[in-house]
This record gives sequence, structure tokens and C-alpha cells, in this order.
Amino acid sequence: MANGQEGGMSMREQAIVDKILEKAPYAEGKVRRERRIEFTVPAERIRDFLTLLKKNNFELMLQITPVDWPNDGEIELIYQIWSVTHRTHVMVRTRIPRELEKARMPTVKDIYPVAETYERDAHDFFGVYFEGNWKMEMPWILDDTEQDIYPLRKDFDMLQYVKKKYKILDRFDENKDNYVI
Amino acid sequence: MVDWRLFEPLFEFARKRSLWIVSFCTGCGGIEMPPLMTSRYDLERFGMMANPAPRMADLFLITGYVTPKTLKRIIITYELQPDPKYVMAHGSCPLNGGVYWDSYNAIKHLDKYIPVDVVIAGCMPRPEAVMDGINKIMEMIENGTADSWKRYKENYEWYKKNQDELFGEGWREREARRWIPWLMDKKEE
Amino acid sequence: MVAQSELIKEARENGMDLLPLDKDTYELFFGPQHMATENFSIILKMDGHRVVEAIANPGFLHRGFEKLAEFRPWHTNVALLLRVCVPESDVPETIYSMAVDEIIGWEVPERAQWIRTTVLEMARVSSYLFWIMGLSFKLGVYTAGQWAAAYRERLMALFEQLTGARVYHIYTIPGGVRRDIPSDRWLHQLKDTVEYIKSKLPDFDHLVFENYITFKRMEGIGVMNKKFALSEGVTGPNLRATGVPYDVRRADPYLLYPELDFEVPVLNEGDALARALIRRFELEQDLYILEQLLDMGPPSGPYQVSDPRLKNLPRFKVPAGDAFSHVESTKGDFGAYVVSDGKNKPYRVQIRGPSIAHGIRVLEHLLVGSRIADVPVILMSLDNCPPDIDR
Repeated sequence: MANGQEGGMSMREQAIVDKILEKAPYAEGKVRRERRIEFTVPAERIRDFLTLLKKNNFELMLQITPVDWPNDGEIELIYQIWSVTHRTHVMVRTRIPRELEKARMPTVKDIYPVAETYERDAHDFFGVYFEGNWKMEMPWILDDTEQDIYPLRKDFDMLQYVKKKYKILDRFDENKDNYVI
Repeated sequence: MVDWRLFEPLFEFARKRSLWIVSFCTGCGGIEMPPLMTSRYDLERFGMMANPAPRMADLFLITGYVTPKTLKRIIITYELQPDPKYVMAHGSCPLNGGVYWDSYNAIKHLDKYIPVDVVIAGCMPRPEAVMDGINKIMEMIENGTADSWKRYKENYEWYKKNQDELFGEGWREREARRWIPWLMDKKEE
Repeated sequence: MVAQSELIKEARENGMDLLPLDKDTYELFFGPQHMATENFSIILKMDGHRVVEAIANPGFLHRGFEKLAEFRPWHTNVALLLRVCVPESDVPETIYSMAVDEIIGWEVPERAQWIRTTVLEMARVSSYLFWIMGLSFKLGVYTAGQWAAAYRERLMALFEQLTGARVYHIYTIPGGVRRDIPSDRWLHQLKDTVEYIKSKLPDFDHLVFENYITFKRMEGIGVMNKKFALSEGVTGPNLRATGVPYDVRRADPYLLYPELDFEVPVLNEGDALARALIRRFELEQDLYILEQLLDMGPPSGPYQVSDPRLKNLPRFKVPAGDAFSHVESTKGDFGAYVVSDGKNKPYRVQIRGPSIAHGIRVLEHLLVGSRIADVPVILMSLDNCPPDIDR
């Protein structure tokens, strides 16, 4: 597999990271492996940083991945961008608080227009509110009944919810920690 | 006045030989419908064909898992069909949830919400299994046991209660009005 | 008979005056019960037969894979996540397996890599044939559709011999593949099938891709340019039809693709016809890749990594870490991001379907100004796959 190739192969990626970090001293960056780099950026500078990336030929935004870390009380947002020019995948990590009223981010839809869709997705499943995206309240994948429960958060008790919603089932009474499907 | 009940066996025979399907891919089973309809398995020799409008269809194939959002459309489409109408559920998921048995957004027992005549097990059921199910439903039509549409009428309160429990009271109106705020006028971009 | 003014008044009172009622405008809820959309809905604001505004309404196929994956052991997830992409179910299994391999640091044996590549290419060919079937049904060229479905059945039969299933194969697992190639006879059959489909390509050209009707219906419809496509995150054949030679198999090579020789077809027009022709050229390239793979022959060796932990799959633990992997599917760039926290279940799995980029905003943009009859053609030319939007 590709992660076996190490050593001198990642010089090109290191050059990209250095170039970006020179202009953005607030960020931290490293090379993960060949064609994979990552940056960690404070949440309030994310728009500056993505503008910088867009200027440096990182064209395609692939996805915005929220990851819930309830132990740290934070939601991690990972902006994953692919550069057709540099042939490199970049992850821009940032962390925001987990509480619903504090989980707010500025939108990046004017930098990457496709981010509008990903932000709607993140809002529907994680309750992260992106300020400036007027489609935030528009109906997306989830139905009305799931509107305010944010099912992909770690504290959403799925089995309890399913049992209540669909009014079944003996199998759910098994010990949840140990079931093997 | 003619007593049409005398001709009922003839009608049943005719119905059995011209089942038109509502073309509604409700789930992943939709992927096996084109092979079934085309030259290899060729369902048209049974007198079946996929029909765009529910108004002219007899058979509703629930192809695969059903999410609550789809179920609303399924119920509306099902009620649009004229009598007699038959429902065939396709795959394990409408039967008992299948692999989505713990999913928060998949229906576990379809027959609580609309009546089902024949269920084909399997994930995904092979085209042969679907054809077997169709044979079964033809048999049932001929001997008059495919009576789900009658059951739906007789037990409408029960079905309606289950539907309302799942979606909340007045879901039809809410669903119809859901998009109105977004269609009213241009928002500033 | 009620006067129209009264009707308008009543509609206003009930908050139903969406568009000026005196003009020829109306709202059309297109789908989900429609042959072209496969359980996907578009709300169209129409003026006569022209679309004024379109709003995509996904979510009919949402099953919450990303949540369910957190509840299942690592290997069981393969049987779940492949349902993200129905016509090409090997793609989600492969990206998930590749990401897990990367987290663990497994070197997948060469034979497994060969089988994975072959299965991916077979899936691509069958998915393109399925797409040709859909396109020709939407254009009204039914003969070609029947042929494409029949040729796809040959690949389905081969898949069945290899994996035991027609649609959901559950074949590529972390660490290799689930079982070995059944026999040399299977390889011969695959070779025959590839040759057979290749010999039938001129027929498809004759009926669909060189057909006057196709050109009339698809030329100049749904045009997007390079800048727009890149900023909207469009990938795959749709992006290559606008002149960007981005193919994951070349740009971020995985499995055996660095050793294989193939072209990445690029067109500059960016309309529905260009997108259709790109897919036609890629089908030819995929058959060529399969020929090369068969000439190469499967390398000898094991088809799975040998690891004592694989004996007890439910308790199998993956070290903490995260990885992103993506492959080129017929729809575009299909990616998976997997996070592990060292337990026997994933901490987070996200699947990035290509349709989430071109099925929502791009579709809404392209439909504006088109005729109602062109809506299915644009949908088909984008190759929109609703399950990977909804997941």
C-alpha cells in the first residue's frame, strides 16, 4: 500500500507545507504521507486560511467532516480539499465547542461555493451552525421529526430512539455494549 | 341490472395477466428492476410493465428499505392507485428492517403502515426470487386471497393510527406546506 | 363556476400565492415517484415549459450509515457501507478497506491488489453499461438499452461466480479480499466477456453515440465551464467533460493503476453530450485495462494478509488513527474518511459520494432555463446517484 513509500518521496509535499505556513504563521502543518498533508488552524482564522489555500491552487473541496469528541467537549471540523495542480489532498482541522449555541462557524461558501451543501449536511447531522449560509434552515436530508436531535452526535442514543420511534423490539433489550451482529 | 359478481373469476384472470407496476424505486432493489424488465429475465411476458403513473397501476413493488420520508410518498402513491391494487415488498428490509434493524431512519415493519400481499426475502433478492414472488401473487389473485386493498379499507383506522404515530398528526398537510416558505419569493443571496 | 379573482383571493388568504397566478407559472414537484429520478426529488418553478428555478430535495434514501458504522465491528461494516453506492457497490468496500489498511499499516498482498483492481474495473464496466441503458431509455432508443442490460448480465454472472452475489458482493475486506479466484476458467470467461463487450461497442456507437437524435437532444444542454465545475467540487467524467484531466487513478494512484497503461479522455465542451461521450470513451479504456490485467495474470501468493488477529473478527481492534482514501468511480471521486480510537468499532466513518457535489448545486444551476423534457437528460448526463447523496 501507498503508506509504505516514505523517506525522500515527500519532499514535494514538505515544500508545499512550508510555502503555506510562511504566509499563515497562525497555522500548524505537517506531511502525513505522500500526497497527504494536514494543517491545524484556529477556528476564527479558517476563512483566511481557506482563501490562502484557494489562491495556492487547492481547487476542489471534497468534503467537510465533523467529528464529535464529547470527552474534549469539542467538535472537530475537517475541511478536505484536493489540489488538481499539486495532486495533493489537504485536511484543514479546526475545533469548535460542542454546545449547540456555541457550535458556530463562519461560512466558507463564498470561497468554495460547494461548501454550502456540505455545511447544510453538517448542520443537519451535527448541529453546527454556519453563519452567512442562508440555506441553513432549508429542509435537507432529515425529516421534521429528526430536526433537532442531530443523530450523528455521540450522545444520541440510537437504540433507545429507534425503540421509541418504531415501537419494537425484543432484540434491542440485549446488552448494548456487547452485541455482535 | 347485471350482477357483476358472476364475472368476477373472469376479471381476476384478466387482472392476473396484466399487472402494471408503479415505477417508484423506493430503495436499492430498484437496481434489479431494469434487468428484470429487459431481455434476460423479461417480465413483460407475464403481461407486466413499469408504468409512470400510479393512476394506471395495479402492483406496487416496494423495492428495498423504506425511510419515513419515502413512506409518506409511498402511502400517498398507494392511495392514488385505483382498486384492486396489490403490494409486493422486495427484500428483507421492509419485512423486518434487515441490515438496518437499528437504523434511526428505516422502517422496520412495513405492514404496519400499508398492507402487503407478498414479501420476498433476501438482500438483494435475485431476479428469480422476484419472479417467484410474482408467480405467487398471480396465484393469489386468481384464488382471491390477494385482498390487501380490502384490508386497508376495513382497517383504515389502525393503519392511520400507526402512520400518525410515526409522522405526527396532520403529516399530509405539513408535508404539502413544507416547501412553501422556500418557494415564496427570492431570498437575498 | 368560481371566478378566477376569487380563487386568487382564496389562495392569498391561505398563503398559497407562490408565483403570480395570472402568468403561466407553476410549481412542479418532480420525483420521487418518477422514472428518471430514482427516489430523488426536484422542485421546479416553471414558466410554461421552461424551468425558472430548481431546488433539489434529497433525503429519501437516508439510512444513517455513518451512525450505524459506529455500532458494528470493523469487518461487519463492509457489509453495510457497500450499500452507499448501489450500481457500483465495490467502490465503497474498497475505499473503506483501503482506509482501514492504511490505519493499520497493512501491506496488501499483490494477488489481493490484482483482484481488487479487476473487481473495480468490472464494476466500472457494469456501471457504465447500466448508465448506457438508462440514457438510451431516457432518449427513447430502447434497443440499445436492452442490449446494455443483457451484456451487463454477463458481468453479473461473473461476479456471482467470484463473490456469490449479483449486486452486493461484500468481497473486498480490510486486508485483502474475502476469497480467492474460483478457477482459471473464470479468468477465461472474463476474457471472453471483455472481448464480447468490446466487439459490441460499435453497435452502441451506431445506435446511441453517433445517433442524430442523441446529438439533437444533448448538444448544448446543461453547459458548465471549467471554473464553475472546479469551484463546485464536480469530479469524475463530469469534470473531465469540461477540460480538466483529473482522474484519481492517475492523480492519486492506488492498487495496480501505476503499472497500467490507459488514457484519461478529456473534452472541452462541458455539455450533456460531452459528458455522455466521455463515459463512452472511458468504457473503452476500462475494457482495455481489463485486458491488460488479464494479460498480466493474477500474481501467485496469498489473497489476504496473514494476521493472527483476524481469527477473532468481532474482537479485532484497529490502532488509533485516521485515514482518507478515495478511488475513481464512474460517478466521480468517491472518498472515505475513517477515524479509529483503538476499539473494535470505528469511531467515525464518513463517505464522500461524488453526487453530493454535482447532484445538488450543479443540478440546480444547470436546470435553470432548460425545458421540462431536458430535465431527465440532464439528470442522466450528470449520472446523479441519490443513495450517495443521502447515505
